[in-house]
Amino acid sequence: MALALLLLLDFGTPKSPAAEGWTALLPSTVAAADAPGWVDPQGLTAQDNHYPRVIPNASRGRDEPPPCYTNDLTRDAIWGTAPARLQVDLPAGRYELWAVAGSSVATRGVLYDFALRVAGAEVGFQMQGSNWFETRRVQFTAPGGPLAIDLAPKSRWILSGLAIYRADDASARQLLQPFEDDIYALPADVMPQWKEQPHRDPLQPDATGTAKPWAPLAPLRQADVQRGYLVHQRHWSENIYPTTVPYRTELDPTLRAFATPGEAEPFTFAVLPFKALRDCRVSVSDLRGPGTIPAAAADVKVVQYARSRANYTATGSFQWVPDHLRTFTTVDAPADQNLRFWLTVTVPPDAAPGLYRGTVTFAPAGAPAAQVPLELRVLGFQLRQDPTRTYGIYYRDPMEAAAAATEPAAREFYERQAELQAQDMNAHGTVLNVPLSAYCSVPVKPEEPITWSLDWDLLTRRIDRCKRYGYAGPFVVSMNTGGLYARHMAGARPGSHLAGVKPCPPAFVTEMTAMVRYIEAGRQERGLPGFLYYPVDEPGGTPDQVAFMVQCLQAIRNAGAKTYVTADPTRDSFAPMRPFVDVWCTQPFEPSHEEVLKDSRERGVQYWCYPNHINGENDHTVVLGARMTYGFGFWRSGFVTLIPWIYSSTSGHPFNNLDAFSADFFNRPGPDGSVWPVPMWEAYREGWDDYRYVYTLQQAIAAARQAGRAAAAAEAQAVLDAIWQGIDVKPKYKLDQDCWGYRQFDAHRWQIAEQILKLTGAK
Amino acid sequence: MSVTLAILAWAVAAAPEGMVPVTLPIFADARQWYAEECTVANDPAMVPPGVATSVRIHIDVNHFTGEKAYPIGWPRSGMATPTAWDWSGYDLLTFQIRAATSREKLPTTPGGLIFSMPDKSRQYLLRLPSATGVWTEVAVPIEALPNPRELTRIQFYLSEGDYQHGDTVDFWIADLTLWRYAQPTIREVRPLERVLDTSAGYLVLEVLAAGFEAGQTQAGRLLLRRGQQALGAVDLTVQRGKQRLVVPLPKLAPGTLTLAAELGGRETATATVELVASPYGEK
Repeated sequence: MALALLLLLDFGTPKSPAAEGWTALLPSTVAAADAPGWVDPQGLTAQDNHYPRVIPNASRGRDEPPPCYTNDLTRDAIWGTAPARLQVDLPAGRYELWAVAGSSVATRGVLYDFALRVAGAEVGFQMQGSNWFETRRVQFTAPGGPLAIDLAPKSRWILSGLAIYRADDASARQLLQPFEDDIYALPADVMPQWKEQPHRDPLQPDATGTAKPWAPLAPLRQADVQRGYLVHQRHWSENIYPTTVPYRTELDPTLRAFATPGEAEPFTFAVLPFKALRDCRVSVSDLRGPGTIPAAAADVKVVQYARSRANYTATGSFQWVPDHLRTFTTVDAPADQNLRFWLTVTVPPDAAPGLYRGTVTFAPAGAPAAQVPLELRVLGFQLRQDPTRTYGIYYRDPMEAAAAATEPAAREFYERQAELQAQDMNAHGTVLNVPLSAYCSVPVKPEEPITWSLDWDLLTRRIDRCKRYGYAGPFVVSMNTGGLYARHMAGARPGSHLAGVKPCPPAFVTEMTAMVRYIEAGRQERGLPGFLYYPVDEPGGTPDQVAFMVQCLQAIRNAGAKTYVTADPTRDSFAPMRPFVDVWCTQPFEPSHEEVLKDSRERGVQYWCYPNHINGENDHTVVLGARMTYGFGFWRSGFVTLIPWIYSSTSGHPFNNLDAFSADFFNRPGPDGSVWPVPMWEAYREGWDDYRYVYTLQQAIAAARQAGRAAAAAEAQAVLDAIWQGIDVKPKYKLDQDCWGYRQFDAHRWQIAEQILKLTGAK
Repeated sequence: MSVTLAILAWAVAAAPEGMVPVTLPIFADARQWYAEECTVANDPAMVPPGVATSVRIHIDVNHFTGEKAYPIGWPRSGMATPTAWDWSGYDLLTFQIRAATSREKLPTTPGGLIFSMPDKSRQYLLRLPSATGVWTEVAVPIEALPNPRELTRIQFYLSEGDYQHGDTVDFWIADLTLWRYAQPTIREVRPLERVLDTSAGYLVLEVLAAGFEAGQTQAGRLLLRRGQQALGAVDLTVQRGKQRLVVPLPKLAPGTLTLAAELGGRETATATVELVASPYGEK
């Protein structure tokens, strides 16, 4: 590769190769008059870890893509925790600096958060852990002669590569593009293994890649042509793709919704430009009605498209989909593609009931602005939460990263992130019913005695936080089943989902019982809520796997504790486990409502659901199925807890769904510990709200009956019964055809709200 | 392999009226079927009335003999073609199926039928009926297949995890038939939203049309009624397959709205939409 760039520095170790055409820069490279280097090499550390294109996963028994795609530039890096200065010698002129930073070395509790400063210009990096690389560009003017490049960490800085070239050098971006693709798309040798599946719009099903989504609306209105774009609106639960054709009836919309005090409600609209629009801004006015709902009550985000896999670990095929909702100040809108904006208005708790009106303004630079009317009807009652139902979620807790952090700034960051995420969960209906870890380490050699211990401080702090956010137990706790298995099976591991497990000797059961007794004693000593012991995740169903599960469950029961199993109880192969299971957690809503109630009544067994098909295991577009599952479907199921997997999961770059073993999914890490949600997470909250409307009406009916208002109660009950009967019960609500239509949910919610208003006399 | 699956309950079909059948003789020859973790053979002794033979899939459920990584296996049998079948000119697939088992009854999910297309991420899956000892007719609307122009495989299968080790299961499949409507017709009008508030402004409908030649279109109408009262009509241009229609919703009081699709002067499909009061008063 012929590189005409002025300076190409590849940071790394003495043994790791420099990228072709790049100059190796080591921790020991000191700046000289004619050579770039460090001003002070103290405290610099180099690292190197190259991943091949395929990595065997022994636990899963298959080959997988690496945690990130590395190249000769990104495999190695230099890092430090104190400020560091590079010095380069440049002739006077205007330049652009390009830097790539990240770590392919596995770490725990590390935060790469630093500024890179050059000649008065600055760019920031913030990567939460390993396998997450970023590139940045910054333009600056060099006065000529030695020039300092400063690395100013809040926690830790890291640098893999740095290029400096003339600001007007058009070839530079082209030469650096392969490094960008390795991070934000796929390496050039991997991409051909993937095929793009175009989205086919029902109004333009045979469209090719050159078709304009606005073409079926031709002839366009003159006013729209002059403005340069269409404004349209579709229900928030219906996906809008780049090529979605708007309905004519959706143009120039008024955004409408109703909500109760304290409730958050989504409003969305989209623009479809005929030519590219730059620096677009969106602002919301105060909403005025019986009072004022301030503009600050509206959170405005833009829907970011991304390549998505057909399912989270599927490879070879992708589609551009609406992926996550991100904050923005200005955003560019490409020509002939929809760009959707997502407004979440949270009604102040003291808002008076009535109709509020305001305006949303979409203002691109150099083109006329558009005003979109917004109407919000505030209802005069509060939603109530059914105390017998729990909304939980699997969770990778930043508190664990905080506990592992060695840099104070990293610890503070992860603790703050944990709080922000807890607040976000609460705002979406989750009361922090999250599985926890009660991990006790055990020596692998059976002759070595076990001294039981676990990190009670971390576990207690996590439980305290869950309580603070509304969940008082019981808590699902995972345990060190694998370590105990290795101790009794000559060091062998049970494998993913018990892939390689064999039944264990009786001593295993004895020691597992001892482990649970130890945990139970510590729990009781600390006054902690009850635990549900979770020995294995999603066990397989072979006779050996089931026999081993029975051993684990019996061992837990022997200690007088309760068990939690993630498996489908309707499968015959799990029948031997049934007498020992206190909580079945299943992916589908199966068994049926009637069977669930019967088993709960007769044996005290609880049924929880982890509906991954509308959380992590999908193509990121199952928004409608998510609303059905989390709301009316949950109500209809008889299950008592929803606990999908998982609040957030990232592999490799958190906004590149194609790299690493699996896609990134559900909520994404926003800057400074904030949360960037996905539409399915907003649907989780709307499902929660649907259920709260149902429960609020149930309570109003009960109160009306008690007050002797039988006729009014009967009328309301008939409405609720009709909605119940109208649910086409499915084990999994995933595809749109499994669910009611988009706006139908709101119609039913309004039917319920109307009855609440009638029964309570509220406005 | 991870796939996006459309899981539908099985449907019992009456003999399709106004349709022309095309039987599929290649599917009646068990020698054309592949079989993994099971056996397959013709069985002229177990057939529905009027059918000469059936294909019998026999499975001895064994929780130890699947693939190395998945000892609990998924016995499967079906037909595959390297060139793809084009079923886009048909409207319905029907077949008859019968099951027998050593168990008391079949499990909740006795097995499935997968239709595969070249894009492996888009397959179509049908759950098999759970009745034993009787012939059940299953109907699959062709428009439900993601890409009926490029069908590469039809596969019956079961997951041994749904069964006990040592169970035996037999499925007999007979009379695979493709159907085409004899003349253009609108088979179904399906509102995306069956309940809406009166300020919704428009209806979104899926119109399923059949009996058309490729490229053929025909003018039709969608009639809006409340009881016997005509509320209006919308002109349609209809072609084969599923098409989306957006219909402005006039200002109406709450109640039931009937939609009737008319083609060639005949009403061939109706649907209803329930209109409820608007939260926002009059639009």
